[in-house]
Amino acid sequence: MYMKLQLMDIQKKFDNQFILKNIELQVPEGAFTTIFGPSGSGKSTLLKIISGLLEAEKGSILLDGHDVTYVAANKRKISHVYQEPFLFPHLTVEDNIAFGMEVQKFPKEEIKKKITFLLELMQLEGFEKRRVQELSGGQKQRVSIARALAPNPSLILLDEPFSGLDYSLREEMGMLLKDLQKKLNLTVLFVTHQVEECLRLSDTVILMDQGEILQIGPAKEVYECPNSIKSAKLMGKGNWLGEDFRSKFCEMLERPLFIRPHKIKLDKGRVESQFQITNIIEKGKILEITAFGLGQELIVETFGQESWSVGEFVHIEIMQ
Amino acid sequence: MKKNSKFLLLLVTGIFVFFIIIPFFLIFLLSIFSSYRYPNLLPVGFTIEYWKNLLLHNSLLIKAFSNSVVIGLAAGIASTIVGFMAAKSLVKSGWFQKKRSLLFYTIPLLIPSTSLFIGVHLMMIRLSIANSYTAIILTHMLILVPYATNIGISYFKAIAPEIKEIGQTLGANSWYLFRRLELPLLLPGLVFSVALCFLLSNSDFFGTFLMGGGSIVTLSTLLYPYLQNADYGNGGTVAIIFLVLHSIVFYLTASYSNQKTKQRKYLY
Repeated sequence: MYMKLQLMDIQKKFDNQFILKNIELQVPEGAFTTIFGPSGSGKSTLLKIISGLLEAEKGSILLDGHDVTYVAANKRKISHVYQEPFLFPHLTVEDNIAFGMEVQKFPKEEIKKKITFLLELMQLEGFEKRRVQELSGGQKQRVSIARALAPNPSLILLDEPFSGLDYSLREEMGMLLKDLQKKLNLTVLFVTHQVEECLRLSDTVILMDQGEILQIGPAKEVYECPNSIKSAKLMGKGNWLGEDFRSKFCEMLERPLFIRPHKIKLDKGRVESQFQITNIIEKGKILEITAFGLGQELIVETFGQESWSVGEFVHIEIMQ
Repeated sequence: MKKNSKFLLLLVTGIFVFFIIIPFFLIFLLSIFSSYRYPNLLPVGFTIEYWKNLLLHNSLLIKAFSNSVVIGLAAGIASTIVGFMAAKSLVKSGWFQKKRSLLFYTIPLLIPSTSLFIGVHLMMIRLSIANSYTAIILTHMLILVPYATNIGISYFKAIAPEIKEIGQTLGANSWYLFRRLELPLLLPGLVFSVALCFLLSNSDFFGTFLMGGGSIVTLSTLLYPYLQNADYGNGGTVAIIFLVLHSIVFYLTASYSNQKTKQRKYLY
């Protein structure tokens, strides 16, 4: 697989404190790669180093096989989309989209065609002459993505671009972005701290915390088979299975160490059942049930079709 | 709450009427009546002589008016350029956030201008530029640059750094960023700064008089001798022209700035 971007041993310090420690990663061409991590984990700093807006203290960056470590941001051909759209307030929608193409001296005809194409793609036909203040939050972010795509960047960086939007719009925008990425075969490096968004959109996930990469792999693998307790906790609740449990259930498990709550099924049991419900939390349609047995606590997520009560004995089944 | 705001509105209106409208009206009356002396409640002897004399027979008025405009514009533009350049580097370095820096760039405002101008005048004599437009403009700039710097700081701070960063990643170099992004966004601030500096420069009497050596007449230096001789008729007429010039500049600036604010509603 052709690697669009390669980072080697990137380090960054602020006030003598490491923000990024020995970052090594590769982004394949035409893939949707997500950097997932909590706030303050160094994700945005890493993106700024990749785009050339910040300089790393150590390490090198290869883009399309060329060393761009010391190449200025305006020469890298890497577009950056922020959490806020940051549209140029004195320009219209079409002027915003045309900005990068005009800088790079695209022929006028091509600029016109590209604007029409991108507006259609972003479902913003007829918005060419609108002032950016007249747009809604979602429309503004769509214009900012179109602006980033317009000058044909080698790589597009998106730093939590949908976090300012409400839930349904975020989902819609995510799907639109994924669709675009597939259609145009874009290489996308996306940053988020939303598990759902990360799993829905990503081909590859890079798990980051405190300036370090914890795990890199396909989204499903990173979510279901974390390589450490730290990695597991970052992506939500889960169960680390003890020895007693493993000796009882091991033959049923491909990966015996860690299991997410939605992968465990509860059945009504009898007094001799090994697990007893100790707590139930209602989370909308989902019930989060804590059960104790075989010397350990298990967290289980189940849809609320059946009624459960604290103290009740249950059987558990691990879903493949 | 409502009572309080009504009271405040009344108070502000009262102050505005008492200190701006009434004096303005009195000046106007002085320019069209030959006498307005105590204990008369109303002025007597309607006349347009003062206006006739000033507009038709006083060659100094045109000179004073054009000098005021030229010096005001030159000092306003030069101060704005210097002030905005200072503001840019202060915002970039984050230095303006330190309290000591405030003292540094407001020193010319803290020193009494009369004392400052005497020293500056001696310097101008040594540089052989005393009694010239250059001397007046440079002296005005001493007072105006801190105002322009403060205006510049607030406008530079209003431009989110991300706006420029995005421009950079789209391929723009520093000059392109300045021309296409920064300058248009700063334009309302530049206009406001030039207008404010123009008005302040025009209002200065002592600096203009001292540095011009009495030979360069502006509206404020023309007005002063009339007031010194208690010639309120001619003084009032010049004052009205002065006020009209300032009102036009103020009106144009306010309407431009309103229009831009309505258009933009800053996004950041």
